[in-house]
Amino acid sequence: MRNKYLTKFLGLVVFLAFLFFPLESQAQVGWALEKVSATFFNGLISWQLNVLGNILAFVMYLFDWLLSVSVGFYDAPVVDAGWGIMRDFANMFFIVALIVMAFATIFEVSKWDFRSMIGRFLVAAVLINFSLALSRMYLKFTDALSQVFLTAIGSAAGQIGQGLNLPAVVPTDAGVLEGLGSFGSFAMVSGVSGIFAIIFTGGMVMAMVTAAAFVFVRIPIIWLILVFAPLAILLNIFPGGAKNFQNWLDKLIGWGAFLPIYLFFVYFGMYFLSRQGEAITAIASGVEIPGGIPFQVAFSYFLVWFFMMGGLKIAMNFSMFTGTGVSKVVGNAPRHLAGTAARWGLKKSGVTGAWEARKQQWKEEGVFLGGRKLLGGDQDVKRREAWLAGKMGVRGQDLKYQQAFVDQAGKSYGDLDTRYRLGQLKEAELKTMAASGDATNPQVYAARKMLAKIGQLDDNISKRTFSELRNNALAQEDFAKTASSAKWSELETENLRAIAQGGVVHKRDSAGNITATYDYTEMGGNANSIGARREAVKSLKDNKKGVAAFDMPEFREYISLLGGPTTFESREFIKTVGNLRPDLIYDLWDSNRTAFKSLNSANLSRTTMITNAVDRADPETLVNMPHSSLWNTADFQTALNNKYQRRRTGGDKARFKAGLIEELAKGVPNAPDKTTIINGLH
Amino acid sequence: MPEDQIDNLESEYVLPPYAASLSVLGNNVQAIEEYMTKSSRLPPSIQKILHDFSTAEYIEEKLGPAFGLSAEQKSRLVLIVGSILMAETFIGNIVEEISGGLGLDQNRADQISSAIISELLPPAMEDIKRMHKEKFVNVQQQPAPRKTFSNPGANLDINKTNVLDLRNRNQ
Repeated sequence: MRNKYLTKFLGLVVFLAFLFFPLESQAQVGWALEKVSATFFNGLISWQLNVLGNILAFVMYLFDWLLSVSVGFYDAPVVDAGWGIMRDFANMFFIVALIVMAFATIFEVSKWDFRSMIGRFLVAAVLINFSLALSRMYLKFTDALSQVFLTAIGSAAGQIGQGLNLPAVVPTDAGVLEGLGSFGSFAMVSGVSGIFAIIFTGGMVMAMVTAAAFVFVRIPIIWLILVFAPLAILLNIFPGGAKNFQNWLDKLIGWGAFLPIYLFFVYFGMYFLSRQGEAITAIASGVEIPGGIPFQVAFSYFLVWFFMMGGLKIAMNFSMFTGTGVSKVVGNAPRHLAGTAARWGLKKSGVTGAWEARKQQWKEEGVFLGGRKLLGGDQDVKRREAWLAGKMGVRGQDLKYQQAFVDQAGKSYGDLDTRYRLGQLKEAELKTMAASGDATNPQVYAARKMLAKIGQLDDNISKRTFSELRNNALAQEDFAKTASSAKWSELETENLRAIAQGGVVHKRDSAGNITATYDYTEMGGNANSIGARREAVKSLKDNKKGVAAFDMPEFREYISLLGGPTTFESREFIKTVGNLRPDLIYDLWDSNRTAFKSLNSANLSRTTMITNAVDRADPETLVNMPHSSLWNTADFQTALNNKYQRRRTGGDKARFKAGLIEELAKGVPNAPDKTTIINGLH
Repeated sequence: MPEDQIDNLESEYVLPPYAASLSVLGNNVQAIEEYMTKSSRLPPSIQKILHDFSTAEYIEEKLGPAFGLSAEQKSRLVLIVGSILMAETFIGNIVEEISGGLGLDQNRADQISSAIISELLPPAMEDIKRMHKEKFVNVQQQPAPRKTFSNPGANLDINKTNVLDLRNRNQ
């Protein structure tokens, strides 16, 4: 091993000695040895130059030929056949894409749904079948540019050969080497200048081989790019495939643009090479580098390397291999140009802002057609995700889903509210919207909620809405709260009681005949309806007609619904009901004095409770007290008469009577019966 | 107004026509219901005078002292006003109604009726006229038969000395 290194070291020393030994020292060496060694090394250098020269000549001819065939090579039959196979394959996948879109739309997976994919799908359907023609059109365009430079350059090999002035680089005993054609012939060259000649020529070979290699590999690469065009465009339909398509497009544009860009640098180099005399002579005339090679010649070699290798690198960088490839420049150009041209006008006209707002709305709420949702938006996705998570048992997700629905509907409700306030939306339109679908549709729900707010809720809408929202406790409660804020609109008291009870309540006329039936039994057995029922109960406490109709089980149910007799809401409820229904308070307390202790903590008698209630009551409350359980009882009539008698003057008594009669005229149940009792006050 | 119902009239302070009319119906639930139903169909302007306690105050505190009306006369006057408002009595016969119902002479009845028509009824006069025109269209062309609380038999010349007209307080 050590001998091997030693041999190499000695060889290097001898080589360097010959290379840098002063010429003067040659005189001190024997003439014979000098002659032998000079002949040997000069022969070696000449042989190497001979080989390199042949290679360079071959590569230059090859390069010349490749440049000429690089134009129009893509019309090869293999490309047509390969592209045809890929196209058919891609067309098959359109069915798959449609199925994917269908399922994604059903399950509201926004990335893959109809709304997101249909645009790319349609574009791809067209592009796939025209991909070869369009790609060729682009390549023809680049070819046209290339042709300009090729025509200008003519024979690149000849130009380079002329420009490099090889005879000046390789001074031989035999004289002048004439052009590249004679470069390969055996000739004796001097030592130092010969070594420089090898360096220059070797560099040229490397440059030309690299250039030829790139020009050569470009051909099969572009073939592959053309063949895979349908597949790349197909992949662009799918969200994950856009990158692949972009990559394909980069390659097509890059490899297409490579040749004209590279030829531009070659042309520029050739041009500079042909004019080197004018430029270099002026600044470095007569200057030589070691070995007697004129600086001008050395510079011309450097220039060729620079343009051949540098141009290659710049062309590749410019077209493909950097982040700012041609595809990006070309791809973004129309957008930038269009944007620049149109931005000002659109922005000034407000179109930009409106369009952005519309896009944002579509994104959030989805796309509607004829009042029906065509595509879901982010809000739908959010709901769907929460729903699915809930189904998968993720804690709290069910409520999250419900809240997402309420939030989504809230935005639509806000819009409707504004439009209604401004007079841009009529009740009839709202009713049409409310009837256009299911309450699980946020827009439909928002319309119904709006009807509830403006007091246009009827039994049909109320019943349908609670039924359709059976799985959404928050939405039911939200709807009930809105209805409550408008005192439940046009709903009959019996209807409200049916909601509160989650049961069936009949409306009867004065003869006791059923005139209407309200059935909300679905809410009674549904835990999701408790919030809504509570809202109805809270509204009922202020509904004198409703409270007057309470019976014991109903009252007990409401207290239970509000959390038992001791909760704040229950106590408020009991207090209000007690003003109108002392009988009910007493009877409930009496039914379980321990459980309902808070209802009568002073242990008052029934008579006292009724008397106190009558004394406290204003005319409206008095007349609304129920006939059968209060007005028709001796306790009540005594209390009423005592109240009447406490009026000091005839005028006060007349006012008291007249006040009660007036209240009875407002549609109070059993008004005639109660009138007879008022008539009996003396 | 049936005689037996008159007893139900408030004796100390008059009620508004509506309450007073209901009051005289006593325990007759059906009649009360009918009256309530009928009155609820009246135009609002008429209902206001019918229900409002200011009507009672006007009769009690203005007409009563002005014409020296007794409690019973005031109560009867309220019923007559109520009857006109309900279009049960033709307004063209108001003087006769007051005169006969309250037992007053024609001159005082005329003054009272003038006061009522000019001071109490104006807000609803148009509606009253329309209702009365619809109901008493034939009556307007000829004087309506006098409708009083007096016993029709009192004017007949049959056993006049043997019949005691309880409505005639001058007897």
